[in-house]
Amino acid sequence: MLVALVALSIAVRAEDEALSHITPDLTALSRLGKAPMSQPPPWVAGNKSGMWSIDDIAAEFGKVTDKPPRINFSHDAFVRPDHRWLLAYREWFQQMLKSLKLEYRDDVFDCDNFARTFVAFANMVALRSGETQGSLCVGWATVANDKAFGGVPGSTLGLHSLVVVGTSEGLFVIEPQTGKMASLRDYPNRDGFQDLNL
Amino acid sequence: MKPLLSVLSALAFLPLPAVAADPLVEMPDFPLPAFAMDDAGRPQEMGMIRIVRGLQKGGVTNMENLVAVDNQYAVISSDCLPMLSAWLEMVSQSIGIDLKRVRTQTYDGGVYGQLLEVATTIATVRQTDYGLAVPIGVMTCKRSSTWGSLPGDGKRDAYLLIATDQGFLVYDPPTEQAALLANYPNHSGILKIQF
Repeated sequence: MLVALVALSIAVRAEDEALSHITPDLTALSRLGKAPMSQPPPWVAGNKSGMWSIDDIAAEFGKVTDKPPRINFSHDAFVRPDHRWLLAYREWFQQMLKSLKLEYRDDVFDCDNFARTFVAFANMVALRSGETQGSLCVGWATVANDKAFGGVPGSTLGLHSLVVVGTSEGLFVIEPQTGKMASLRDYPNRDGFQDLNL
Repeated sequence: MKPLLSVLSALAFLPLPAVAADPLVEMPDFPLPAFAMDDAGRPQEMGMIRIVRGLQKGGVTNMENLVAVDNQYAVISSDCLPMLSAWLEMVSQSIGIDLKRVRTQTYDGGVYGQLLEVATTIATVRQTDYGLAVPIGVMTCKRSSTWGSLPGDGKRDAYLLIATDQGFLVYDPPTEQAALLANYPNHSGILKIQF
């Protein structure tokens, strides 16, 4: 199987079955254009809002619900954005969606994609500013959204995805499709969270 | 996530803002992956059953660790992996990060996995009419055994997991290391897979 993989791409080098290397193909990349994007709100590296551990985040959920989500993580602690930065970033994100003409499309760009895009660009902005303390306390969550929130109607037919952020002022929920936001305490589906992916 | 309605469509009447003259970064455009095609010239589809079977072949036994939120995915052709790898390297470079050295600092593979997933998804939705999600996921595992230059120190680590025409491929962008999931030495220590 590995031989077939190498045959398909000469840029993939195999040393043994457990280890190959994918060599970046810069020539193929040169055929791409550029992605125009506006300036996001500046992130201050070395942010002073503090870090939250997984236990801290779980404790914050515990203050407002008896049914906290399972938290999936690849790190132990996360940088909390300054709340004012989050508000500015949220506005920038809405503009970015419009400028890229990103609209809802089942499976290929639906609620989880909006949420993951929000998270990915937030981390990118922080990395670009030289943030080295770690990833942001910004994750995408799945929730049973029985009640309407942020312009998305309530539904009992499946799960919804949105964004959860731990800022300098606590835990907040953002509907990334519209930018609507509420503190976790005021979020109407706070008892329906399933997974939080950080 | 099928039942959800598009709230953005309600905003369609709003005027589009002008493209900003002040760019974020000189980043390369979002990369459209090559997809493995079926006989009819459409992308090969991968639903939950095929995902689970593929992961089982790769040695994953506990599917409670799997989060796959879309119904159907398009299988990625392994031909395009070097291009996707280059995109990640160039974007990192454009924001001042040397991807090859990033493991010397605080590193979260989930951030890079999510960035590539988001970028390829944006390209797919803008350039194709495929109603299929892009199967680039993030795999978190305990690295009990040495894998290439990555030590078997028992620490938690995150990699990209890509569903390709050759099977599920584990990829670590900073080291450029890759392996089919079945051959990845820590597949028994997988803590989470997210697509």
